[in-house]
Amino acid sequence: MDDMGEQPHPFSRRVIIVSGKGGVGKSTVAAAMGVVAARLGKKTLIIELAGQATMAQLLGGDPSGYTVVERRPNLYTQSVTPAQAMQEYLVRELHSKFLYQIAFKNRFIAPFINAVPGLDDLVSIGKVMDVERTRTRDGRPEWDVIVVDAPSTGQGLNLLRVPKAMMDMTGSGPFFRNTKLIHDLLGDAARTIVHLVTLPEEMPVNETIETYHRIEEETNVAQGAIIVNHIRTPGFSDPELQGLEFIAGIKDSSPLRTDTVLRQVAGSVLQLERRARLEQGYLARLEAKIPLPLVPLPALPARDLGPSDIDGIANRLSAGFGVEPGVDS
Amino acid sequence: MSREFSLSELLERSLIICAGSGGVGKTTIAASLALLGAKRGLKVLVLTIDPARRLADSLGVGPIGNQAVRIDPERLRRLGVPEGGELWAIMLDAKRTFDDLVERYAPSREVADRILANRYYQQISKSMVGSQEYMAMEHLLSAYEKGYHDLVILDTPPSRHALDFLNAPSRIRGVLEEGVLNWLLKPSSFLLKRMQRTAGVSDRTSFLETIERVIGLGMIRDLSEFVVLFKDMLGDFKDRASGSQALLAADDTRFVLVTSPNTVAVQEAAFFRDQLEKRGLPFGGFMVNRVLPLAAGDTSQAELEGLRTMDTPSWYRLFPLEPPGGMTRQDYLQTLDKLKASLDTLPTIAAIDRTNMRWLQDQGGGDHLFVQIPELPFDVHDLDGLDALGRLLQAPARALPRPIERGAS
Repeated sequence: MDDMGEQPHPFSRRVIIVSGKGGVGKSTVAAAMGVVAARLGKKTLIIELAGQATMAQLLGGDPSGYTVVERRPNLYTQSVTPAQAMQEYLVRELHSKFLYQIAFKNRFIAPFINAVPGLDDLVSIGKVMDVERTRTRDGRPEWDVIVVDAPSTGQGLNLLRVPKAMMDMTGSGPFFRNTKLIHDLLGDAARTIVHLVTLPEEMPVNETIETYHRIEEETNVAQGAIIVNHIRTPGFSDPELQGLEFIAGIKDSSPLRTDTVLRQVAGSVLQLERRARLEQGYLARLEAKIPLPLVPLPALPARDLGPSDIDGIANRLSAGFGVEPGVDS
Repeated sequence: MSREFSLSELLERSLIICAGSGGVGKTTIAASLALLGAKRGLKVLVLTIDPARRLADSLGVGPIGNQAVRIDPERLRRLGVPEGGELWAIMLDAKRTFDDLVERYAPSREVADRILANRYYQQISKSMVGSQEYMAMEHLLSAYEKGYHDLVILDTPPSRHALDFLNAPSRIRGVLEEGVLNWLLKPSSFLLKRMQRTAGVSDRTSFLETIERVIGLGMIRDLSEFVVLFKDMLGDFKDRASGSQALLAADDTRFVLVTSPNTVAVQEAAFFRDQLEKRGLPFGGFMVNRVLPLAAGDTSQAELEGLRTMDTPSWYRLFPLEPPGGMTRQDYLQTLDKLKASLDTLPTIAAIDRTNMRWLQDQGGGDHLFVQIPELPFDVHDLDGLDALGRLLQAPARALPRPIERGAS
């Protein structure tokens, strides 16, 4: 594992994997990570493996799917489903698209392929490796930074664990060698890092602590930071909180319209404040249990996040990771 | 809007399935519904996969495997559960359950042991998407068939997509489908031979070996063994899966979708509701957790704007002159100042929640339950907490107000 004392620059790694369970805002964080890298002048590709193509909404522009699209200067995105990654791999290995189709697109074989444990995750991370190995004509890496919006299966752990598991089952042969290349890329702390995204709530926090330990124990991947999304900051002191409770309570029985409104207002503020305080407790728990930097991101009052929100989150990430915010060109 | 289905009517059913994505309080709400049922004198069983084990502790049941455990009747009496009312819980361990099934249906102990030791079996039984869900259904069916309980409540596994639960039986059946297995074991077909020649494999190798060359799993022996061993059990497995399906679609079953008011969560809940309809499964209603009082209430944007723009002396006059006991005047005034300042962002937050809920309610269609649950000021981790949540679930339903009109200022 990485020596805590000598962390390389957070954006010097080529492959930055953004992982975590579903619904915690992984894609949002991946988009903002991409923006930060691109602002640092790095040619950046965001690969969505999470199954939904959301980068168009988050970064602006038209939905593109599998096609690589430039969203901003230096910032490109691509969405790859396991089926596409599988096809790409099999067509290459079988040397024929026709054979791929007759063999793997029929109703007898498809369920079988789907049932092979871990194959989805393996071809997905294999795709990332292919991208990482892509070179320009003069032999330099095509991409300076590849941000991976990881799938959520198995708390995001499967993607990191699958090469080792497959190697254990195979033992030798071309497939083994291929898988080992992926394994080596993941395990090279100079090239690959994984960040975990979570929410300041009980279950996600407990699961993140567990996932952190399992990544340490079951994989060879270096871990970067814990990114805690959607944090509300407490705004009231203890006596003030008491004051809020008093107001919410004293208006309880009043029939006056204004008092009804004030009751709802005070009750809502109270609810948000209590939630914010609980969240601080969960942050403290993460800090105590995981020896990685925490990067907090604030809750944004918006129904659907868009490009300007992502810029704001990118600023927060820059600050959280201690890199120069730079200027978005 | 049509008449709302009441909570009482819901609790008269014999099976309630609580579905929804993780992190919205689904487990807690399922347990709270179960307690409400027991308080009506019913014998209730709640099945849950509770990774945190917190609920297990709070119910007074330790890590107990897949056995139904009865909650201490004395503790229930104190909460007002009448004579005859019982609360039971099962905490599911998916891996254990799959093994149980193999042991139950294997023709002999020897076959069971060989399957349990098979590497391919070990992989699919723990890592395959849907195995947890499938097993939850299997347990549900067993509990239901025993017929002891008046009401069974299932808390579905906390998958990213609640839909995994509905897809599980067909997905697993697809894998075990005889057609697939036979095809894999059959001698090579014409197409396969062509493919094998092109891929540089001899005609004599089996299809599985060709696959191995490309996806290189090195698991052929394990897989063939698994397929051969499992063949005899297929019929039983498929019967169980069909039984579970029938139970889900029964007249006396209701699906309750638990969500929070946030945008992603309500979209997922509405999507799930559509899927229920497409599959002919009975929808019972939405339960929206963590709703702000302002989002649930009838306050208009104009009223909030009036308060926001009020001058400070007038604002102060809306409140009692004297601070509550033990509070300094300065702290009191500061509280009032901050409360007023919160009006800059609060209306937007409440408007988003309210718009989302209104939208969700419109997706519900006809006769269904729509419950808004305010956030509890504490985490539920004991029976008293479940009881307090139960009282909130029962709070009389109000018509949902029109959305706070936005953009007025």
